[in-house]
Amino acid sequence: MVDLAVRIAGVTFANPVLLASGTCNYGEELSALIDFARLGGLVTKTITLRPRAGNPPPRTVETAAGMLNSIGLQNPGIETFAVVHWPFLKALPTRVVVNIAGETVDEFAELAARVDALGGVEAMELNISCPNVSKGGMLFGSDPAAAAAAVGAARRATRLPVIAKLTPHVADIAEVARAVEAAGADAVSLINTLVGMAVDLERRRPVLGGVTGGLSGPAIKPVALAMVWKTARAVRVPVIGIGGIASARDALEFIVAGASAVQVGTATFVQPRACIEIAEGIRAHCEQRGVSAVGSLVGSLIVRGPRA
Amino acid sequence: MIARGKRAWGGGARECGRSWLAVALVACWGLLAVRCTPAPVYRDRLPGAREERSRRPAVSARPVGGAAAREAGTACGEGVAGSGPASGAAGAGAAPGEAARAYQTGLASYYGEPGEPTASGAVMRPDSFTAAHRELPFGTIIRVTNLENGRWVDVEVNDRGPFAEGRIVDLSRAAADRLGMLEVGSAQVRIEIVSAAE
Repeated sequence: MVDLAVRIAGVTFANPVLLASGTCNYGEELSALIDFARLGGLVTKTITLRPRAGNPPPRTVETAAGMLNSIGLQNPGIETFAVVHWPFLKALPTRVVVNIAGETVDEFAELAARVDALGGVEAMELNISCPNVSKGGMLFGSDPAAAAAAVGAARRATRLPVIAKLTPHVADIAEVARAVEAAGADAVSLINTLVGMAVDLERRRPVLGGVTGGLSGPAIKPVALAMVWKTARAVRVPVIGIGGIASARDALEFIVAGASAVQVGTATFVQPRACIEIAEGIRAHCEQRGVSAVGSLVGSLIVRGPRA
Repeated sequence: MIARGKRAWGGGARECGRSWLAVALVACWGLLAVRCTPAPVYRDRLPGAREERSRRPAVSARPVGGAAAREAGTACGEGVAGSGPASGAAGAGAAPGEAARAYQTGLASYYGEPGEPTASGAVMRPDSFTAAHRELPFGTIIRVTNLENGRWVDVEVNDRGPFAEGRIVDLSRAAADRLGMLEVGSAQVRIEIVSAAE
């Protein structure tokens, strides 16, 4: 019997595998395809204060071992979300983390209060790392002071756990992680997508309507692993690993590198049950090796000798 | 389409092209709703969408916690921390068809100086989510719900207590903060077992 449950900031997830923001919308589309009770949890598509139409199409394109997306945070806004989508999510037999993004520090505070008032939310994840918007998003996450301001504003507006989702587009992600930890983040999740671009040579035009987009999928896994490892050594709060996880092995690599939990996104587009299969794979791995609790693997990476 | 994609990334570079075709196809399918629907009209608002959803069978039992705990949280009416007491309707009942799995209800308080040893041998850390309980085994994870405002927190039992008459659980400072009971110092709570100790 393997204990797969992980506890992050006072919230127990049944297993360490969560559906990543933006890859499962508000859960409805997946409801015919997967058993939510077997997920560790679900992170909603980003919600903003006002409705957003998003970026012009095309919005996704396949790349070598990954994909680019430039959705531009299309969403119905917090008011519609509360009425139309939250009742469904609240009834799901899994832990739901609500992801929010403000264009300003004040918007983060207002959104945090509104999400708190929904009732039944387990935690909120602050998207301070979207590469596809002109205001907010990555502009917060790429500067330690701005990131801390956004997190601090949300922190003061809610008692729910606050998870800061970080961008890889920084010189030192550990510095941003320390800044948001000091501002009151209960956990950090990383990485968001890397800025990428695809060119249609024949038409001499960018493939994406938004010109650039966010790169995700197995292509970014090594980048994410390095950043998770670096961050986990720099902060005391739990780290949630994200980036190209497509198998139980991938997930376990993140956990060993220091992630207390992981999120799976792009792999869900290939196989809607990816999260569940990964969780089962982690269980099998632990059983085979006589590991009684997955928590004991967190940060168990053996690194020999000092690094130059 | 989905079946083909199942083994994607499992077979190394040779299969990349084929599996990523599947990614693109499924991704397109997944984002179809977003792409084909003129904003801000949402599919869910179209006639019939909601009705169909409500007819679906009830979801299966929660892996940890339980619908009862979540249901109790729904009455949490306090928007901003410290904005005053919320309605007392929280904890009124379990979700339809699911019995509340309350282990205990009663008065909670909070305690702890940093660095003090606990009965389990662990050092007291006020910023971690722990609790003292008189009989639950160390390592038990319990969900403590503040019945006065619907807020909850999962804590690990790592100490013995409280020994004051009429109290059932003593919480770390972080846990008490989450429940919004720092100022008052105590609150009526419900305890549910999330996971038993090994």
